[in-house]
Amino acid sequence: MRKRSAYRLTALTMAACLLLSLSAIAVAAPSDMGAMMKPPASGAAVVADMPGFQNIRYKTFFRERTVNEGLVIRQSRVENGKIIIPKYGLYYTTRTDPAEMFKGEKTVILGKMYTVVDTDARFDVLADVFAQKKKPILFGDGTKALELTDLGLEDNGYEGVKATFKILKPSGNYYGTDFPVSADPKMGDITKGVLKNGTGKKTGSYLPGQGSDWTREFWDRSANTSGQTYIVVESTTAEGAKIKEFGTSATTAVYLSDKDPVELVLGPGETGKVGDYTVKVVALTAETATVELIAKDGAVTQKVLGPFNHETEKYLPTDHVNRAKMLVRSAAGDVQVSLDALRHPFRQGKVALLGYYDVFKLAAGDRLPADPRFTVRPDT
Amino acid sequence: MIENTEEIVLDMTNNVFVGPDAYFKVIIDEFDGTTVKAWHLEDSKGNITLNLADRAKGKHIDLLVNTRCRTVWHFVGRFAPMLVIEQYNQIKTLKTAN
Repeated sequence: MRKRSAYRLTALTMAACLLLSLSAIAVAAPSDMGAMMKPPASGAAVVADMPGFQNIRYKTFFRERTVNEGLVIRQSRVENGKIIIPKYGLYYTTRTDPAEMFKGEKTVILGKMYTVVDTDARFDVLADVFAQKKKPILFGDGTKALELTDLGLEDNGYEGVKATFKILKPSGNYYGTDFPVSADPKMGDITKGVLKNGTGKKTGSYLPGQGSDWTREFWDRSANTSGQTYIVVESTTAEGAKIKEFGTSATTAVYLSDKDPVELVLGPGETGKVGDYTVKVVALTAETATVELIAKDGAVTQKVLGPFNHETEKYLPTDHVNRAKMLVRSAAGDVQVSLDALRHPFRQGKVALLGYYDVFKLAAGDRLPADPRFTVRPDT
Repeated sequence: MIENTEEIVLDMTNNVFVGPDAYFKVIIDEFDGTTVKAWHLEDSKGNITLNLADRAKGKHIDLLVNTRCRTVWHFVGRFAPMLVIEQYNQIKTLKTAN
């Protein structure tokens, strides 16, 4: 029996923007990778807990969640009379599951709670590449890699070649789910439907040679998935694995606010306050709300939010394209108002809105505003 | 993740590294140029750890803080059996000393 990870690799981020997937973006890997994607030593000091690194329980609109602060030093060394921590060798992390939009989810950064307002995402693809064991293949912006971690025979010594892939993250960890695949011709490839109707055997016990001769039937898959992430291989041999296609998403930026969301329910002509801004509902239909964001200086940003219907809400909150239709941001980007999309936004002739103010954006590679010696990376 | 963008160099002259927004400090207490004999972490509330030099035998200052953080636990999980054995040996040593 193969041990399976208890952790599902959920959609690590939200659905990729279709426009991005239509125009593949190749980004060069950072020139100095430092300790990127490297683990700490097995002899690392372990501090099980410390008051200054908190585990904070908080309530979303739907449930309770916990965010945990952590600290890692990796790849440090003593050299020429000095103690060296390389670039990217020290990181603070608040490893949270992907925050889901419209749910009032939060994260913690250096002890302070922030509401997750929105995220930007990208979908990274590798196609037609040959993977060799233990030779990670960089993808996306070069801060993650697909690694063929194991290449061997199937269980019980069956002479079919099996390949196991893992995704190596900037943190030096692998994603919780690994991706075993085999395209060895000796295997029954279940992705081809060979087990769709079973093998025709009836309840009972079969000796070798009986039934459809189970001693020659070994099953595997040439494709494996976890949420949005998938890998398809063309061949698995003693030399490695030919990848037909691999894809996974990445969070490229996160929009945060240190304020709680403002919940408003407004009818046509009614107004509410979101920070220094006035939100006015100009018009409502069954599926849309025309809203105005009015700044202190009188500048107006108007947008029709929606349409909110079975088609557009079907894949919320992960659907970036339709999510963008549900929200409006101020010209300065410091305020966002959206439909309360997961809690029946159109109610009794009014619309339920979520407002966020003092919003700021942190993109991968940005300097930390409070301390520019450090860079931020939304994806772990 | 919040990561250092420049290499960090420490010795007994520059023996303190202040973390992002002064959220923590890495403090080298004893270093002879070859072996880190004593170092500790201080959090923003002034709490300090014991000497952290033991597991690395003074060869580096790799560190994992807060095992409830998933990223940290994944790393600790890789060598957790070693920690159990080390703990057992430490208990034995302490009992012998008493």
